[in-house]
Amino acid sequence: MTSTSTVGPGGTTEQVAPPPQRPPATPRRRRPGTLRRHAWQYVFLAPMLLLFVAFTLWPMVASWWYSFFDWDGVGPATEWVGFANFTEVLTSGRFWHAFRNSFLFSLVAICVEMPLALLVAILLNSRRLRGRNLYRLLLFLPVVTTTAVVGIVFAVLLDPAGGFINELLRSTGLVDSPVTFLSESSALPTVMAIDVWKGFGITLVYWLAALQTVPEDLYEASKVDGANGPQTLRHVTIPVIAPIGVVILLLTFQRSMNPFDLVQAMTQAGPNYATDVVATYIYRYAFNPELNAPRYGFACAAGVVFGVITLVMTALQGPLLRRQYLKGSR
Amino acid sequence: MRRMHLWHLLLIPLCLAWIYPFVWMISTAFKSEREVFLGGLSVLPKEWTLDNFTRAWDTAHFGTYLSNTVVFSVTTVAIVLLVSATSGYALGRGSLPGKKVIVGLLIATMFIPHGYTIIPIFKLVDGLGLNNGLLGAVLATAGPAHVVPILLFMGYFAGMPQELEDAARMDGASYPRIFFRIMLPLAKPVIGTVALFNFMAAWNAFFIPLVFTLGRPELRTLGVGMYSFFGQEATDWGGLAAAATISLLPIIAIFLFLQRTFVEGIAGAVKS
Amino acid sequence: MMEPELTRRSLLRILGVGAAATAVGGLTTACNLVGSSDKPSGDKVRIKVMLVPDPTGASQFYREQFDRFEEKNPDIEVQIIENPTDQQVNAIELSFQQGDPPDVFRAQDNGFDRIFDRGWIAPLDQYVTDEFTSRFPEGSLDPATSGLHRDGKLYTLPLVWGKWSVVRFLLVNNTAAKVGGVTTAPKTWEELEQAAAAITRAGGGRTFGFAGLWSKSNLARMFQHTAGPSSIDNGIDLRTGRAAINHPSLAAAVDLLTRMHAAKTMTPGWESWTDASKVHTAFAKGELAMFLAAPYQINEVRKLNPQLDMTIAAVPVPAAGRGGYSGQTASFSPLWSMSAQSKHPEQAWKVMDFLASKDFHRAYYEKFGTLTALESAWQDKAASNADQKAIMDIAAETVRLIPNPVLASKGGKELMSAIRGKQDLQWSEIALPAILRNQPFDRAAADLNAKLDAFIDEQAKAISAKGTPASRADLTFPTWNPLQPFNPSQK
Repeated sequence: MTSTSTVGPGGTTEQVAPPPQRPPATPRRRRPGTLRRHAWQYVFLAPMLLLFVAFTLWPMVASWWYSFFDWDGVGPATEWVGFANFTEVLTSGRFWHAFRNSFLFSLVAICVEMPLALLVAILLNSRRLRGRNLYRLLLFLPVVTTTAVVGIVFAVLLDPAGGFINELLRSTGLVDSPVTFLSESSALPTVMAIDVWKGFGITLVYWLAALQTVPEDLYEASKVDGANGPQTLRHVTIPVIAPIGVVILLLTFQRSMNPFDLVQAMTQAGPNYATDVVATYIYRYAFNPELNAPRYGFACAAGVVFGVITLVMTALQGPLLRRQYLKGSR
Repeated sequence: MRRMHLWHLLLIPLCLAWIYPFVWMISTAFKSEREVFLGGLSVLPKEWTLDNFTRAWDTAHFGTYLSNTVVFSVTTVAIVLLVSATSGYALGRGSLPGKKVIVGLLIATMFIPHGYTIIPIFKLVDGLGLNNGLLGAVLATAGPAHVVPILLFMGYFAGMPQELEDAARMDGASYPRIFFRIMLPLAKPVIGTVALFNFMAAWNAFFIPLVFTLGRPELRTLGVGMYSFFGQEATDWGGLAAAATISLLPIIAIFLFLQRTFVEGIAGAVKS
Repeated sequence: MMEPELTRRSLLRILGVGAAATAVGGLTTACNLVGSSDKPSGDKVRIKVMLVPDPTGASQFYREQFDRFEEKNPDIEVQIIENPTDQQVNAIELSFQQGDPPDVFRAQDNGFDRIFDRGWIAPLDQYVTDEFTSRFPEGSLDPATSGLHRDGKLYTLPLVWGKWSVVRFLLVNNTAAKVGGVTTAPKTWEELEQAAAAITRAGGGRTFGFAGLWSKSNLARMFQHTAGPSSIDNGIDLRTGRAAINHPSLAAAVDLLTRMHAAKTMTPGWESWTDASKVHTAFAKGELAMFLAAPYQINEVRKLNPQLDMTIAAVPVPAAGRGGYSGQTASFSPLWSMSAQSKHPEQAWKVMDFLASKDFHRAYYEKFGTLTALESAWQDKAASNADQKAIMDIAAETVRLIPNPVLASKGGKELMSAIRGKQDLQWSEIALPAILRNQPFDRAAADLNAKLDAFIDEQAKAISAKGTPASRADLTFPTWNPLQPFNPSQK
């Protein structure tokens, strides 16, 4: 029915099977023509490659270079210190603590936010639910709410002395003494929960998009077979959206690695560094206005170490995700 | 059918609680300074005032900042769209030698933390002599590879039927013509998605616009202006709330407009 | 299934909105994309002033003041560049790197030295006249103690009164305190502890006895200053030149807070406060009975509740007696500076001169209630204002000059800069965990103390190797008695 419209929500999955490009044998032999044949493609790639080299690759390489200097970010970097910054990063307890927190943020986003958002997306995807567009908008609002404002509102709401949530908990008799949500021991889970709240709308929209790809007739068929809700979810919905799920996973992972704004607005990495993440750690050394001299070289080293480890971890999961992605799209 | 109604019992209170901070922001924007601090959490102001808005408008120069933000965001989005659509097309269709390397490199840089690379970027833009206008900030925002948009376009274009392209080529259409006349118009859902996301990010951006407009405060954007409410000694909550309210309205309008395209864009690109 | 149609329409709509918005905003700003070289009108000289619009209302205030200045100096146009507080120093540095620095800028304390060390600040001595000097309290511009001189030359001008940034108070909300039967402001740590407990007990979860903002470990410092040499702020006892994180006065201050936190007589959640507004609000509402305040906080509280029945008292001292005072290291703190690269130094100085004029200081005082550097601008009025009188009296009672290694020698300056820059060796890193986890402070303090001492030795060597002789002697002022004001000629 929609074979030409390419993406119409009604497109079926089996159409997708082998991508149309890549004719199997020939191109190898036609070497001389390759460049000319692809000339336009390279022209189309050029702007991106140019910007990529200038604004991604070069700053990265430059940061690698700076990480070998004791440098405050102003003027030429002259004081070569070899691997001293790296040994300091690698032996810094604070760095690993921040590192662990960064990953916990991702873990929560992936293990809590993603499944929850999927469930809500399934509910909001139902055509029979009235006002679902309004619900979508409401659930999306936190995404666009200014982070600085979020920090202030939650500090007021969660206040152990007279804050709304504690009043509620106390009046219902759930707790005797107020819960200190932002104390040293509970600040991290609290900020994580707020991070989930703030990012939920995005993940929800991703899942809603994914659900659009499930053909209506598959649902019909499953209903005819007498499957109930959870069964349909397991045997119809999830297999179809799994490949998109992999992409959403990557997107969520990337977003959740950097909760800088929220942490800075809520706790400024405190109390006692309980909510420190790598981004705030780097910020403290590179841009903290209270420093006599910023340690930009050291901050670069911390960024490099973090980047390399993240990359390795992603690369390790790569084959697994790839398999999932391909399996789903088959 | 009737079971669906039960969900409203759950969804309505959930959503109300969910958007409380947002509502608080709007109501605070209408409260007097004293009521903000001493009045607590009530949603309705005791006495309505527009003081915060006038303060936001004057002190934070919101008139100027608003038009700067529009220019900054629109230009940024335009560049991101153009660059990621062309490269997504080049990578998505036809087997390009070196494609795997390029895509691999792009994905690899996706996970490298940003922020601390600001100094090399600053030096670069400064060296290009672009530091006097918003273009420096635009390039610094739009320049770093936007991996997700590229992948979205790539996936979307890869999924388009070959016949479409073949037919056009048969008619003698050139590569750019096929792209701009046939392929790009079909990619509207992805365009909408990428536009929405990058617009939101550019609209709220703080660090880069700040760094690149240091010497020219008249070029600042709303995201930067917002921070003038954070003083060393005290934060002006009312002014901040008013400023945030003003700056959010366009974003919400755009979300409403683009919501549908957006959902299709992701679905379409990833499905292929 | 009609989605594509809708898509197209909504997309067109959005493009329309975008186009309209761009047209409106774009016409005015499009040229801003590449940047136009806008020249000041006529033959005016434009002076760029980079400042922080602080406190609330300062933005408007500075514009009005500079408008007045321009009226009197028709050949000068003042362009204000505002930055968020946290970004000001970074902003100044970047604008210098970019080759387009402001002519006059606000850089405080450490920030000033950061810029100064890069050689970007112009000396001002050539402009100073007798009339200029006479505006300041007598002797306060002495190069050895002004705090505004480096290497014997004047480099920066102050905004606030010297003691303003040093003096601290105990504020008591009398109405809230009365609930716990506390009718007079506590004079000793022990009284404070008991009063806080009594108020919290009687407050029934609505009112708490004591709280404060940990930021920069100020809370512990304010107590330590009453018990021992205040140079321990930086971990050093300047009488001996040795690390003193294990000094009993610091341990006692930390223990006091540990006890109060453990006994829950402090507002729950105080440790997570990052914004001083939180303290002011709680206090003005009567949910908090006592806190240690800087002078500006008195104004903030008054703004929230002008009728508040409050007592401004000195920070309590240990029952065993006072062991130290709040240490003033110089007559003033650096604030306004002039760029060494200014193309119009004469005109820039006129702006600087205006910022140090009696008119400006009087206007600043009247607008914000801040006691400014030129005492003569406000002294008469402040004496008849109860709050301000209390500030002055308590400052006289609790603030003393202390040695300042930064001003005393180049080696001292380099050493102090290295020590302050080393985050891991600051005692707040171990004090806060001790307080929150109710752990003993002594062992961690002894440990960190040894590390700091080793660091000082190592840095002294490294700095000397680079050509600036530096040693422990630069940090040692054997004749200093923390209970007496220090005179730099003493050394």
